[in-house]
Amino acid sequence: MALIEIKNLSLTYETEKETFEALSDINLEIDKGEFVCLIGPSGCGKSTLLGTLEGLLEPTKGKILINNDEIHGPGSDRAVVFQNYSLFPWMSARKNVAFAVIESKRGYKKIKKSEAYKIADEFLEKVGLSEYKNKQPGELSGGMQQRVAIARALACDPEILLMDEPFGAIDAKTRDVLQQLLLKLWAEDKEKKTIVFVTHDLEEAIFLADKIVFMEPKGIKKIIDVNIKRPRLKENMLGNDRYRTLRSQLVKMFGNDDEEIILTGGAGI
Amino acid sequence: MSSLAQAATIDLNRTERIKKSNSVAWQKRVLNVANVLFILIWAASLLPSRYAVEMRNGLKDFKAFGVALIIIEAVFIISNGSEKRNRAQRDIVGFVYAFLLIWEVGVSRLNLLPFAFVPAPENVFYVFFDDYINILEGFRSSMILIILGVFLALFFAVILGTLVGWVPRLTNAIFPVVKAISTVPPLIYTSYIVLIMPTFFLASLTVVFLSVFWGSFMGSINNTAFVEKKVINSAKVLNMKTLPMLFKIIIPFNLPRIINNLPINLATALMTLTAAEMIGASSGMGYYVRVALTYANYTKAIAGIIFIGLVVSLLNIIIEIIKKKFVTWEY
Repeated sequence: MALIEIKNLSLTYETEKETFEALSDINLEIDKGEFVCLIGPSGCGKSTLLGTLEGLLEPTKGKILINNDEIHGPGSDRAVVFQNYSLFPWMSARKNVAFAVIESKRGYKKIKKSEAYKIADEFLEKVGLSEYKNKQPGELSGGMQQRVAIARALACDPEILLMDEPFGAIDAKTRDVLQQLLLKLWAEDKEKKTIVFVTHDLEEAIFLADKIVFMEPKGIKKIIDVNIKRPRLKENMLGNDRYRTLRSQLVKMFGNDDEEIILTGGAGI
Repeated sequence: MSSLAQAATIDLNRTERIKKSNSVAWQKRVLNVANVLFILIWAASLLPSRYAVEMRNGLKDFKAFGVALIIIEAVFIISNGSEKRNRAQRDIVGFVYAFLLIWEVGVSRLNLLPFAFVPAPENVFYVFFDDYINILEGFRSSMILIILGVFLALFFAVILGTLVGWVPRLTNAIFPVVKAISTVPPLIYTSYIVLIMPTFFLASLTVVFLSVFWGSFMGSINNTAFVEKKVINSAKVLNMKTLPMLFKIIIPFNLPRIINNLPINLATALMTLTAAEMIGASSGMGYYVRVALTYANYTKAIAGIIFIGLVVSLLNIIIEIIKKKFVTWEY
């Protein structure tokens, strides 16, 4: 049985002037330990879908089940990495992580401050930021900030990791490094986390995912199994036949009109 | 071998350069317009004074004015920052000295202005020697009111403003009303509050409180309603409840803006308080000036005004220090 079940999910935004249906009757199942990428042109509702998984958006119709329980709002079983500027700017990197560890477990489990800081140090080391742990986000580069954000999400030890274009605002070279880091951290976990990753970057999706959910406005167009052996290395990707076939298939799906959007990207809603 | 020698020469050159730039910096710090003006003021004080001859109560001793000059000069020489800051400082001190020089020469020496209204700088600064007990008493009572009033106003404004800003319905209902109220200058209803309050202390406290509260309350609502969405979302996904959200996320996030607004708030509070003190009070910095004006003692009045200016500047310097220490980030 799947870990996440999205059932007949619809979501309508209502403004004073008009109503706008962002998602319509979506059904999707995600297995435990699976790495799923949501991809599609801007405005297709991929960020909205992730928002409902985060619990920040309430579906108009349908429901989401995690471990057979319907979710209402955020929960400690999920952690989120946003695109950027999501760290608390007045806290050091270390405090950011420790704070999240304590707050996310509040009500389930009491965690001592010293313990939280120990966890924070451990995860900041995993993302290679031990030296910078006492710096505030404003003193860190965009890439480093995202490393902290990843450390923060992982330190909360969620079952599910939700990532909303986490590398979208980062330069290409750093992005490659961070993708590799993410895969490494994901693979070395004893019990692999389930990751739902929103991106507008085809190559990122193919490199990272087990399964690509290709979205069109309001719904799912196609679900594609990636089927590329792990561990994957960025530099070997171009030599991989499966990678090249998938890539051209996905580019075709975006359609020629939309190619520009794929290349330049768009944050969406 | 050759590279070693080269390194040595480079090193030598560097120390020489540093020495040279140091000496240039020293020259600039000693030989500048401000210091020339400083010496001119002292020189002017040696000239014969028509003010002393023509005025009944005469010219006071130069010592108080001299001490004030020496204090300014000492602060000027001791404080040393970046070259840009030093230059700004030289300019500021230059302006102050130029003003004092004109005052000294025009009034004390040549007695060009009507002496009944424009006292000599010697006499004005002498007030600080002569009457410091009253001045300090005024300072004490005004400061208690200002600090207490501003603190209470900010405390309630931030907490209430954050609550109201967090709930859209409250924001929509209260914000327009607060906006309307906050545009009314507190000076207008000051005399009314002085009238209805049982003691002057309570009246002044209310006046100071109101002068800061409405603006800060509005600012707080605004700040909260427009906190960076991503920061709120990251807190929300941690499943934080409303109160921890407000006190652990929203208020810390807004803290730099609150501290940045502190100088304006203090200035407003001081302005309103001194105005209130001029209506009805028995002590305070504004009261001091009012009494002096009532008795046509313009020497004391000007001394009181200078003193208020100094206090405001000092408060602003303290706030700057607090800001540097506690506000280490800016959004």
